[in-house]
Amino acid sequence: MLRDLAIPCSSPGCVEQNWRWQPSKNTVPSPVVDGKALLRKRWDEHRAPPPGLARSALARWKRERGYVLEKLLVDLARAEGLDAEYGYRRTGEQVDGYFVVDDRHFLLEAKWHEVPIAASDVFAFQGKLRGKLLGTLGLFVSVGKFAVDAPLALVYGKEIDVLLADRGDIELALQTGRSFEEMVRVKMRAAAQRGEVYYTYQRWLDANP
Amino acid sequence: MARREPIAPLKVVFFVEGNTDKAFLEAFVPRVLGPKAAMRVVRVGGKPAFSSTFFEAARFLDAGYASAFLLLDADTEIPEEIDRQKRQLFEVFRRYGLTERVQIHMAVPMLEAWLLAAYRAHPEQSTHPKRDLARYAGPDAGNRIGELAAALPIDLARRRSKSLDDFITGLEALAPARARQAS
Repeated sequence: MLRDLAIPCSSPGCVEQNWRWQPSKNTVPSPVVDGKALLRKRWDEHRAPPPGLARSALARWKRERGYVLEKLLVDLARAEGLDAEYGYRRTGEQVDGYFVVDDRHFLLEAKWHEVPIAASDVFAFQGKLRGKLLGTLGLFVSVGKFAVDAPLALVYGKEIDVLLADRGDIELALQTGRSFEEMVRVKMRAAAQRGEVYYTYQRWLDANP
Repeated sequence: MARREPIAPLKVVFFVEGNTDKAFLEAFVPRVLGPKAAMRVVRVGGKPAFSSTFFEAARFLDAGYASAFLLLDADTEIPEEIDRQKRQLFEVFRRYGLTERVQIHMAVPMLEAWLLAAYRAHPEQSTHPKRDLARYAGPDAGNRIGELAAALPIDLARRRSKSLDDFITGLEALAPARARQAS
């Protein structure tokens, strides 16, 4: 019987529930209970720097904004009930977050830079997917822009394993009635159907009302 | 006696970068094509995503849309660079045999410069059209794009901005009768 083949889980936070693993509610930290309204507020607070910051303070604020973004995205995924984990650092590698949508495992990279994200930045993230379980995908979120050649460079003659998301995607996913999960699904579908790595949530809504 | 066939309304789809472009088009295009023309605006996102719009463009054209317009910010005023960007996009549509009913237009250097044409003689030479527009039209100009587009003096603006003139000419080609009426 299949059930008998289940490997017992001995770690304290792990609950053997079913064949489909689900995170135990007990392991979920308190920020998860943040509703979308709170997340939107957090997003709005970081869209523009507080007035009157000195140059060094402004640089620090911008750096911290990047960390806020990472956390916000994972909290958003968790608020929607997705299996998601905050970022972690290993030797020589930092991952900004992890989540699962439709049984696909995703690593997250989140950037809030003024300059457009170059193809090389995305390739560096792609490198993090190597050495992980085959089939693991990446979601690269840039609140700033992507360089014009970045999406094409990801596609030509290569297997697609990274999807790109921008500011508009996040703002839409934070809206009531929209979701992070749906955003990721839209992107997965465009990549699967047509090999598009940069397909925005808004575009899908506008083209398929 | 021959029965008159009902004339199907003109349908046009626009692929644009974001909300500013959408607000502009929704206020401006009916002024050129008339209120009966049906329009659909698809916000594509950043410029890099435009090369894949051929798929949706083909779907809209198959569904009876007369034409698809791609409208992007050129982000430069250098003609060679604008030509290069246009050619690159055009090549994608050519590959899929869609060039006849697809038009690619670039606002030089960006859409705000078209609105700036109401106030300045050479809007395409502005190095910071958003800031300049805010100076003339008020600090909240960015939130009043539709209102500014509705009030834009078309003849004056198209004389001042070649890229806007190209865009209007492209629209007029779809509805020559209406364009004659307007002029």
